[in-house]
Amino acid sequence: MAVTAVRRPPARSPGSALPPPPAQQLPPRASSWGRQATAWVATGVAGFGAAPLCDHPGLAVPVLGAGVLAGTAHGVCGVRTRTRNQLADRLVEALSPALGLRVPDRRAVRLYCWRRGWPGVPRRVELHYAPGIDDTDPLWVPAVVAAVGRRLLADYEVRAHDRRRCRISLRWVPPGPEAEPPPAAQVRAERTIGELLGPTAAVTGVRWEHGELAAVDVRHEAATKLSAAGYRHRVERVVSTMLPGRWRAQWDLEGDTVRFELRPTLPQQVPHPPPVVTAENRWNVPLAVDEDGETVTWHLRGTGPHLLVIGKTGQGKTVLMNGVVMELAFRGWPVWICDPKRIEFLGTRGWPNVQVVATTVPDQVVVIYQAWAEMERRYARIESGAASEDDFEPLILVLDEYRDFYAIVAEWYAGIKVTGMPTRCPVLEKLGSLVRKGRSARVHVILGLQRPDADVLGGEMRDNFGTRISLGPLSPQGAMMMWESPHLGVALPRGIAGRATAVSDDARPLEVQAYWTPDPRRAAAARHPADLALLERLKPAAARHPRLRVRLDEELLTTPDAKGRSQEWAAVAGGQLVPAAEQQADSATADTGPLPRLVLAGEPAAAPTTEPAAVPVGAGDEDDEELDVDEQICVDELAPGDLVCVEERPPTWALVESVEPDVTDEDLVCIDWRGDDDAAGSLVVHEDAMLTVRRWPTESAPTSHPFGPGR
Amino acid sequence: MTSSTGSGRTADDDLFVLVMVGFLALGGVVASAGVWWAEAVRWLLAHQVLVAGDHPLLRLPGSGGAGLDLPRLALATAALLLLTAAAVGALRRHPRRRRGEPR
Repeated sequence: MAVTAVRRPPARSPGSALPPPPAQQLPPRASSWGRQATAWVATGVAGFGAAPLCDHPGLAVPVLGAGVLAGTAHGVCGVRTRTRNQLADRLVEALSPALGLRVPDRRAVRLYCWRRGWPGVPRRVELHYAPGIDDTDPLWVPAVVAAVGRRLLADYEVRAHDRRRCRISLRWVPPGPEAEPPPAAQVRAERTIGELLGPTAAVTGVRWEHGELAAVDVRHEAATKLSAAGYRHRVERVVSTMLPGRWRAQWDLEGDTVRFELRPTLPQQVPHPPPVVTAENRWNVPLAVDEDGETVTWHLRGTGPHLLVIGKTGQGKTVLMNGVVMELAFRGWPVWICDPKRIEFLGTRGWPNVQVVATTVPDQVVVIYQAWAEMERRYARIESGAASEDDFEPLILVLDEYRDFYAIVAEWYAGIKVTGMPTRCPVLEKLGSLVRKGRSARVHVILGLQRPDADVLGGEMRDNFGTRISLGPLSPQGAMMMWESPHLGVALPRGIAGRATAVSDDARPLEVQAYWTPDPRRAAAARHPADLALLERLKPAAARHPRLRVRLDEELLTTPDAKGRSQEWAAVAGGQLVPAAEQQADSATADTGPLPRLVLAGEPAAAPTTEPAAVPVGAGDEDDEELDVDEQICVDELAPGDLVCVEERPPTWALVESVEPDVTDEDLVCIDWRGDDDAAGSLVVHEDAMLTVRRWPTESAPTSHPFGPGR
Repeated sequence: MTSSTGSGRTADDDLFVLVMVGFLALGGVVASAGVWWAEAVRWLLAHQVLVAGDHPLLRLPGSGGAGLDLPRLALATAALLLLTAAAVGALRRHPRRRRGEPR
C-alpha cells in the first residue's frame, strides 16, 4: 500500500480540493464525569463521617483521602476526555464536506490510541467516507490528510486506504528532531509556495547559506496547472517578490518537483575571454554570460542569423558590438562596418579582417549596396551550381546607430533625389533584403540601435532578427517591442554597463552580463597593460582579407546630367569597394603588428580604459530626464519599469521589477525593486499606499509596418 | 409562554391550581411549625441523627442545643452533595430528553 507522507501541511488555498468548513456544528456530547467525580468525593466525605460512628475512627481520614483523590482524578480525566471529544467534533465538522457527508456524523471519524499528554494526540485515525466521493483523485487524499493534521495539530500519513469499504486509516507521524519550529523565513516561503501550488505542495528540503534561506525544494501534484508557462512565470515572480532577494525556479514538470533558489549574483564586469575556436563552436559567437556562468552565444547557423543589439547610450552597446566584431574577425571572416557616429569603430579600422569602416553617408550606402550585391552574387553561384551554401564563408555587415543612419540617409537622399527616383532611399530596401535573404548566402547583419521603434524598424525586419540582446533597462514599450512582454528587461540595474537581457539556447529570456572588450583606439592611447593584453589575445594571427575602401566615380559626382541634375546617387549606387592603398591605413594599431604593451619609462601607468562598472545610486539621474517628473500614485497603479523612491533620505530610486499582492495578507502589496548598483529588495506596503514614482512617457503601442511610414 | 390551544390552556389552569394548593399547604406547615419541629428534633435525637452534647459543631435553631457533630456533619454534607449532583444531572437530562436528543 502506498504511503503518502505530509510533513507539514500547508495552509488551504482558495482553490484547493477542500471546500470551506461546514456551517453545521455537532451538538455537544453528554458527559457524566462531573456527577461521578462529585459522587466519589461525597462517598469519601460520607466515609469520613461514618467511620467514627461505626467505631473505626482510624479509617476516617484514609477514606476521605481516597474519595477526594478518586473524585479529582475522575474530574481531570473527564476534562481531558471532553477536550479530546471537542477536538474530534471539530475534526468531524471540518472533514464532513470532504468525506461527502451531508451532515456531520461522529461515526465517520474515529480517533484511537491517544498518546499521553494534554489533551494528547491520537495515534490512529479512522475515516469513513461516502461512496460517492471520487477517491481516485490524487488531490483528495492529501487534502484530507492535511485537514486532519491541521485540526489535530500533528502530522499524519496514510496507513491504509481501503477503497472497497470507503475507509482510510491514518497514523501519527512522530515529530523528528528536525521538526523544531522552522525559522520565519522558511515558514513564509512554505506558506507562499503552498498558496501558489495548492495543498499537494510539500517542502522536501531547504538550504541555508550564511544564515539566509537560499533554496527550497518542493514536491507537488499540480503539474496540470503548472504546464502553462504563464502560470509558472507568475509563481516564480510571486515567490521572488514575497521572499527576500531575487529568486528563480527550476521546474521539473515530469518529476513533479520544483526548486526555488536565490539567483546567483552576476558579476559587474566580465572581460572578453580569449577565443578558442573549434570545429564545433566555430559558428557560435559568445556574447555574454548568464547568472550560472553559462555562455550566451549567437548561433550564426541557427534560427537567428542576424543580431539585434538594443541599448541606450552608455549601456555598453558598442562595446558588445566591438567584441562581436573581434570574435568574427578572429575566425577569419570579413567584417564590413557602417558607423554613422563616425568614432565608435575607429579602433577597428586597422583590425585584421575588418575590411572597411564606413563613416560617411555615401560610403555606408556603398557598403550596404556591395553587401547586397555580394549576397546576390552568391545566390547566382548557388543557382548556377557553381557553389553551395557551405562553400561561402560568412560576411558580416555591422550597422550601428541605425536610427541615426535612417535619419541622415533620408536627409541626404532628399538633397540629391531627382525626378523619377524612388521616394525612399533604395538602400533601406537593400538592407531589408539582406536581413530577409542573407542567411543562406551567409551574409549576416548586426544592427545596433537605441530602441526598436516601429517607425525605423518595422515588424517584418524586426522579426528577422532572431538573436537579440538589449542592454540596460528598457521602457515597457521598448520591452514590448523587443521581447513582446512589458515586464522583460525593464528592471535591470541602470548603473552597470553591459548588463543585458538575452535569450538562452532554450529560448528563455534571461539576464546576462555582456563581455567587456576594450576599444583598441582608447586602449592604445591609455596603454593599459591588461587591456592591451586582452586585445592581443583577441587579435587574429593574420589578416585573411585585405582592407577595402570605397571608390566613387568622380566624374559622375561632379558632372550633372544632360538636364543639369546631380548624378550623385548614380555615383553612389555604382560605387565599388576596392583594395585600400597602404598609406590609407589610418588605424591607431597596425594590422598585424603587436599592440603597444609597455608603459614608457617615467610615465605613470594609465588608468584602465574599463568604464566604471557601477555608477553610484543617483548617478543615473541624467537618464531620468527621459522619464516624466515625480508623481504620486497609488500602489495599485505601479507597473514594472517604474522608478520608485525606496528611501526618502537620501533619495534613492530603484526600478520596479514586479508588483504582487502579498499572499499572506490581502491588504498588503509586495514590490520587488532593483537599484542602480544591482542591489535588490522588497517593499511591503498597504494596498492603498501612495508612492512617489517616475514613469516612462506613455507612447502609443508599436505598430508593425515594415520599413516605416514611407512605405 | 401561554399556549392558546385548548389543551395548553387546560395545562396552565392545572398548574395554577397546583401552585395555589402548594402555597396553602406551605402556609399550613409554617403555621404548625412550632408543634412538629420540637417533635421532629426529639425523634432525631432518639435515633441519634442529632446529638445533644455540649459542643455540637452545628447547632440547629430552636432545638435546645441539639445539632450535628463532625461525623454527622460530614454525612449530611455527603448527602447534600449527592442530592445536588443528582438534581443537576436530572435538570440537564430533562431539556435534552424533551428535545429528543440522544444521551
